[in-house]
Amino acid sequence: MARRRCEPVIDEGTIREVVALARIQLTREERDSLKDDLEQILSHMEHLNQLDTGEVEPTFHPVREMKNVFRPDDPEPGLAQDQLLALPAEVEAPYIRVRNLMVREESEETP
Amino acid sequence: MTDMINLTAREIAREIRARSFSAREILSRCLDYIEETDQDLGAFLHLDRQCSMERALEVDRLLDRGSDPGPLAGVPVALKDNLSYPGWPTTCGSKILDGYIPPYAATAAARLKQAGAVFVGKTNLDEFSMGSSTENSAYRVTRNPWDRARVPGGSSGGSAASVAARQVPLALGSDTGGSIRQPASFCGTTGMKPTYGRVSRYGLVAFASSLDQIGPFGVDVADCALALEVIAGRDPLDSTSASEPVETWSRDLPGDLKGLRIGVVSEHLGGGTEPGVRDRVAQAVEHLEGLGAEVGEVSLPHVSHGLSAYYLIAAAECSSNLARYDGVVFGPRAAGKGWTDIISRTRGEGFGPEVRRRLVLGTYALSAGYYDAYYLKASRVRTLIIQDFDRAFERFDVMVGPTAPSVAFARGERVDDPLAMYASDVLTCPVNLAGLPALSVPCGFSQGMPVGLQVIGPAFKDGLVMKVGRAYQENTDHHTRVPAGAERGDGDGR
Repeated sequence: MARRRCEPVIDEGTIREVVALARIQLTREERDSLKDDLEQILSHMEHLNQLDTGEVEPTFHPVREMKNVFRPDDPEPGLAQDQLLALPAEVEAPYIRVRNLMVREESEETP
Repeated sequence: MTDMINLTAREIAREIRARSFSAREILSRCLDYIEETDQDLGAFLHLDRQCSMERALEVDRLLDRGSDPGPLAGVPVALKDNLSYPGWPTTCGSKILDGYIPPYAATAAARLKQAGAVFVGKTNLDEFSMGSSTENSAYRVTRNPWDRARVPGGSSGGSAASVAARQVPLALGSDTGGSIRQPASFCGTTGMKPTYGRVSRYGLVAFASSLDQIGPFGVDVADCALALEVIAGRDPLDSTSASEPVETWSRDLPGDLKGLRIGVVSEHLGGGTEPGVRDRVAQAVEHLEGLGAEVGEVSLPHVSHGLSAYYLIAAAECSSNLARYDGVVFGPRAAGKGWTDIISRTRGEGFGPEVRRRLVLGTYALSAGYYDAYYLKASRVRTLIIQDFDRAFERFDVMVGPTAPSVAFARGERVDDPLAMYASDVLTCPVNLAGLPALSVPCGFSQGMPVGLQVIGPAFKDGLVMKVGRAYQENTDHHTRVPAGAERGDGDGR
């Protein structure tokens, strides 16, 4: 589909930042192609700005009357621990093994 | 005699309860037929003959003992592969969930089983339901049973194709922006998206939580009504499931349409809709008028903005929901140097191009500096669309129009053009933004491919929507047409 406007333009820094926020490792080619797609999609969505929504309340879910749903805090049978520990990639029963989050990691700096 | 595989779910359950044939026999027939056809059709990702057979024998044993297995006694049912069933893989069509086997059943699946259903397997889908053609699956391609060169629609393309080809009489799918109705339209089968909150989503892998809803595909509306009656209703395991009473739709749907006010959505019949689709829908509307309905034109002035608002909201919500796939609890974990590196590599290797596109779009739309311009703007437009529907329902009981602007398109035609792909949801996704019930029923053919009529109702008027579809099907035979290769038995079309 032909691009209808040049805006919005996503600069190199922005796409790197967004991809890093989304925690997806991509090659440079993949990132460039994603940047083009994003620009095209966002340009297409520019028509939303024709609508004056200054006075319109946003809707975040289609349930009209929201109220908190509680249930009695009664113990019930749940899933067995050994069943759940069969799922993760790395396990040291009865724990799920993860990496230490508090060390400085050089890879954090590279996009 | 008609091949048992061409019967409706209701007929199958009735014959099994009457002991005309057994649950084992119908299951064998379905599995054999799947084996014969699925190499080519590609509807299934997972089959487990032994597990299904054990379950069918259990149903037969209940009958031997004089117990009633329930209204779906022995009916073979397929599940979209984003619905959990214990012991069976749930991949969501994604490599990131390769090898994941949930230890529990989705409530909708558990309720079908409780009603006597026998699950035959898990069906193909676009990765995490993101797509409109089932071409985004990491595992296989599903073809349209009417023309193998075309897509079945999506994202529930496997379930739609399977029912359309009569591999199974009934299947479950999920609909976030049209993922039940659009493939039902493309494959010439009946598909129902219930009101938001009607069906518990416990055990459904989340895509966009303010939009997702589970619903049935069936040979006809009456079968969908029976399935919905079984799966609907409050579930303590899903706090968004509604307490609204579940009606006996399987009994109460018949009746005429005298005096029912039907609005034809003028925007849905505009230039963006193919002439062949417009013609079939216009004929269907005349038919409904002939059944006593009062037909008028209705405008939804903001509906043309629905697609963009939908894609921003759905992308934003999925970017949050899919954050859980970090290689810790589910699926494979990539090797890497540090924590962020491991997560990013796992996600980079695990997610396909369309999922990445939406995760990045959603992350962008939610990020500081862009939130107001995109996510918040879309959420305000969502309000305008809901208000359009509210006003329209003051004048009309239900609304009708085409389900999709075109018939099924060619495979490969839109894979490299995301905007063209998204456009096939233009008539369905506004319904999800408003959380309304909607149905797609076959209403004829254009270019030799099925066309779907969409019926949209006010929230929790699922019964009314299905009543319109049922009345239409009682007076037409489009839903009885089956693709070449699926016609067997005495060829009565069932």
